[in-house]
Amino acid sequence: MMNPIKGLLIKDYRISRFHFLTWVVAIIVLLSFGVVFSAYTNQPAGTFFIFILVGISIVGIAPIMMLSLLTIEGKNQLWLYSPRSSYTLLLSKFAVILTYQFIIQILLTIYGAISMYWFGKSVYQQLSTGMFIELIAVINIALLLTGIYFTCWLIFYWSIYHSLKKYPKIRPFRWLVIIVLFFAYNLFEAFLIRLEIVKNFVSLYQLNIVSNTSLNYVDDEWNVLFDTATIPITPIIYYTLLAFLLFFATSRFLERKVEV
Amino acid sequence: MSILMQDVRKKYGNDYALKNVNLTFQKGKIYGLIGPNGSGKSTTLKLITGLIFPDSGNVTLHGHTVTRKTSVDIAYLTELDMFYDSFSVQETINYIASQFSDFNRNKAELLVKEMKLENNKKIKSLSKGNRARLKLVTTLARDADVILLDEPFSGLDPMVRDQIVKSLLQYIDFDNQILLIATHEINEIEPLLDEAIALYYGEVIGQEKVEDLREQKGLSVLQWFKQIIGTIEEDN
Repeated sequence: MMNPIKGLLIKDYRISRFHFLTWVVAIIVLLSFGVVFSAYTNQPAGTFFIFILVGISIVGIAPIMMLSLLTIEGKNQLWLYSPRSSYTLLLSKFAVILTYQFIIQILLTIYGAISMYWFGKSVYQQLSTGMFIELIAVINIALLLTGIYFTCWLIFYWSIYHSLKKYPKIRPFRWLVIIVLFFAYNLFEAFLIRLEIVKNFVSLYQLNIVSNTSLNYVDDEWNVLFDTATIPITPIIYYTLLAFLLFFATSRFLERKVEV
Repeated sequence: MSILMQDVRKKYGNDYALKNVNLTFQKGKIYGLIGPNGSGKSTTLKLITGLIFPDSGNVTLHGHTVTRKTSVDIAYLTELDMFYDSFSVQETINYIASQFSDFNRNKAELLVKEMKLENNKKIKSLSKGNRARLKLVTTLARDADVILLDEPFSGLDPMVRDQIVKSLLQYIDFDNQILLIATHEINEIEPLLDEAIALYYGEVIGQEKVEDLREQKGLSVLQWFKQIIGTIEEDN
């Protein structure tokens, strides 16, 4: 008999693999375009622009994939007819989606290495292997954490949206509730960040790592430079805790409020 | 072993799906939940499965309040389309088998053969009749304490209906399981039933032992149901 967790993972993989392949093809096309276009314009640093563009779009992979998975499940919500806890049901989706994202990140990492040490060797500031690993590790961890964070918000909004389904009077305005929640939280965060005490707390603990990149135009050629930058740790801890909170709140909503 | 519904109310907006419903379902019996569309049959089954929650009152199985986890003891056949289109028949069975420890693979294999389903056929290419057959396979293959069937005959031709009734007779453990069938196709299930429960706009309007109906009142379940509905509508 197949293990229930393995069963869930296979199910989530099977219902999402087409979307994943679509993402992979789109990313490969974009990365290839970066190389072809940079070669055509004789500006090898053009691959850096595509690297950033793909890096930003990777942040959207996890929430978009999660939304597509939940849309499939939300057609009848019978995924909730399961002896597994809501945490497990959600974690299975996270595991599959983050694996997809990580595979795409590996593609981007290889692209970055090729750009830096081969295709764009003349214009990329050459980092030692150690520095390159540090930079790539920072980028990959940041992308994964950002993907998780946005996905936690997405599942939270999704569960609220579906929890409100049982109230016919609110049902047509469910989107409005979500939009109000979105703006309310962002206003709260903006307010929080302006407080002097919070500002001081944010800059209390910082980490100095290679994470800053810039483009420099010299002699008709773009060059890519790397520098160390300080990263505040407090916001990372705050957003990690917030992501956990959103995840647990969503699980509770799924268990007690979302009806089939 | 029993299912208890005590003073259960369930509202959708201003409309009652169930109004102060009190019902008890005992082990070893087959119950028919009958009533027109919107009478609360599906709501009753979903409440017992823990897929929806009562606004007030209590639903218990084996003395414990029903939650989402109760699905471990309840095999539920929904009237909704419950499968993933990209799966094959075999993948669907594998998935359900992985989730429910009481899933009996031998029973499933026998049912698949009997229902003439092809294991490698994709769900999206199955006819409505074959989807209904597969739903029945995945439900009856479980050795669960409770089996709930929501409109198992809906939109199916007489051949498939006969097959479903035959499978029920063959694969239900009549001594140890509670079987609850919600349907408005009363004639199909009448020969199976021990008790019939009539629901009308969220209220239980009658509950009778089918044998008593036949022997003491000389009525079929359908005749009895029409009679009580007629009385209620005259009163209104």
